[in-house]
Amino acid sequence: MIRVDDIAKSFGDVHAVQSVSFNALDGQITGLLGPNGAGKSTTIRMMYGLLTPDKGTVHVDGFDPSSQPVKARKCLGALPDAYGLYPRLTARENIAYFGQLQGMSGTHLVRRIDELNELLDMNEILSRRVDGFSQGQRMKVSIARAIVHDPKNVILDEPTNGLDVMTTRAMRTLIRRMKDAGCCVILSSHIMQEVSALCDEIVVIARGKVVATGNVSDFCTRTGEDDLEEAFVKLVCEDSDT
Amino acid sequence: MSSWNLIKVVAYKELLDGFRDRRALMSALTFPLLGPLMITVMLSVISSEEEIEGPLEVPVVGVEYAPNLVRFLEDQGVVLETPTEEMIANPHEVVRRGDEAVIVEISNNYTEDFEAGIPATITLVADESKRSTQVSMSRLSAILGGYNSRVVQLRLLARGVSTQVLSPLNIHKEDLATPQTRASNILEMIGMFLIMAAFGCNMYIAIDATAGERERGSLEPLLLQPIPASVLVLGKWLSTVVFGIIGGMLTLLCLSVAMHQLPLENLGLRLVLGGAESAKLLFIAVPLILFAGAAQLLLATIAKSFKEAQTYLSATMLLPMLPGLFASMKPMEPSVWMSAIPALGQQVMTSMVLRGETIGIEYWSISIGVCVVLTVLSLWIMTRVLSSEYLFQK
Repeated sequence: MIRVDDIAKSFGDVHAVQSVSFNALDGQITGLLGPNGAGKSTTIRMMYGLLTPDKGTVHVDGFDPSSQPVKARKCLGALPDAYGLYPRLTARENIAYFGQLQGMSGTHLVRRIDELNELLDMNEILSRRVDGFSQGQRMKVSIARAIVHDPKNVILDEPTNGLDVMTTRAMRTLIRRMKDAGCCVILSSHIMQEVSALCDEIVVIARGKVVATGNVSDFCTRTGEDDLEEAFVKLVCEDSDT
Repeated sequence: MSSWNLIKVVAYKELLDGFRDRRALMSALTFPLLGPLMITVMLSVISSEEEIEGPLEVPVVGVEYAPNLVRFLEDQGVVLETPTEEMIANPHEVVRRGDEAVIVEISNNYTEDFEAGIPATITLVADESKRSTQVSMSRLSAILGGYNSRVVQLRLLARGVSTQVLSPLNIHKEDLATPQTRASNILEMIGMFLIMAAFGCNMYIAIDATAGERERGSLEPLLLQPIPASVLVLGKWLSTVVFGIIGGMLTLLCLSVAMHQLPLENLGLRLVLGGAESAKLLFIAVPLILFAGAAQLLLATIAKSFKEAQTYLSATMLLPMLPGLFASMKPMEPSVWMSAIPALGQQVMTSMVLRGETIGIEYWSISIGVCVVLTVLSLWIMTRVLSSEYLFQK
């Protein structure tokens, strides 16, 4: 479970995040929806503990990532928007490296990689060097690397960006499976269809603030629109008028 | 997993990555091969020129005019060649073509002038822009000068003047240079190449492990792993140290092979670069390798991109070369303060080893101490940078 309590972050004069609060529960997919530059990535980096909030707190299963980064990251799997791999290592070596950094070793690690291989259908690519992989193949390796330690909390920053239909579907299946396994999944995206299809709870962020929290029908009722896209536009613009 | 095991995991991954990277391997191999190659080329050029130190062979035009001079030259070991028609007719052309280094021309009124006590003309035709010609010319001039002063003495004696009047000074040259000290320019270069290897061999892997990691976008996922930044820093540093030490060992190996191949004795040089000396040199280089890896990692971490890191590090490569360059032009008198400056200290100590001198304990302790302190400082700053927000601020 991830609790975000009224966090804010500025870079010089730029107030990237002004006030964001939400609870992401276990066994639930929480969507962070917002236009480009709304502060999603900064919010997520504060959840990772890469940035320290100017005010407010973040707790990942009770650990503050800023003050207890090692403990918080043990129970967190993350797919940042930059998910670079090591091109001269094979897919297996890439995944195993992060597994070892998570404290895994020996047959435990081997078995887990086999498991991920089955889950993500990576048979063909597992022993090949990453250099020359397609976007979809890279994404598979990155996600496998992110969840190699079987974390209770997973943060995915725009996980379907640039993927083809087949890989996107595989990714969605994986996300639902993690939810079914009782994980707390946070998904950031600027694509409404994706968020509405997957998420139990949606947090709409615009200009560094949470402008709405709820599910698709909540938003439609509130804005009086039938279409999520229209509702989203209204929610985002509503705030800028005030 | 213990911190040490995690450090090993990081170092192993960086080494695996580095050994699979052709560019990293190339840069690690360039410096060990470059130095010995340059020294070999330089020394073989010098030695091929020194080989002229055989008997001096010169064609002499007009031997018939100066029989006494000719006898004197032959007594001095000069081999007089009979000139060809062309040498007599056009000596300038022959020399310009490079067929002969020097042609001696005795003028046809030599005999009359000599007997009349007028300076008699001898022309030496040569192209002194060639180093080998300079050697022959100075030998020939010295011999002719000897004949000149002998004739002066005889003429003065004939007039009843003591020859001692002509020598108010009696100049003795005592050359204390041993073959080892004569090699000192080359010694300084060996030090310089060793230092270049310490900085050059691990440069690429240092950039790849920091700025490269950022550029590939793999730094953020890496920093999200539940390990302290210090573990990452130490692991990456360890991999640069391994590359640096391999590079240093290769450099020394290539140098000692080159030294064995070269005809150093012909040059009057004696350079000892055997197992014991190589081990000592490596021991001198290791603290510098530790520091070089740490400093380069830090710089490349702060750099904004791979290219920027490359620019910084190539520039810093020149700094450690400076003392070596100066020293090879004008050998320095070693003094203890030099050991407090990384690269300069190692330069001085390398020369001491190759000169067969003992290195004082103060040199060892200061040079190692300074490198260790700077290494720890660089790694500490790098850990602070990686665990701060610096890299993720917009």
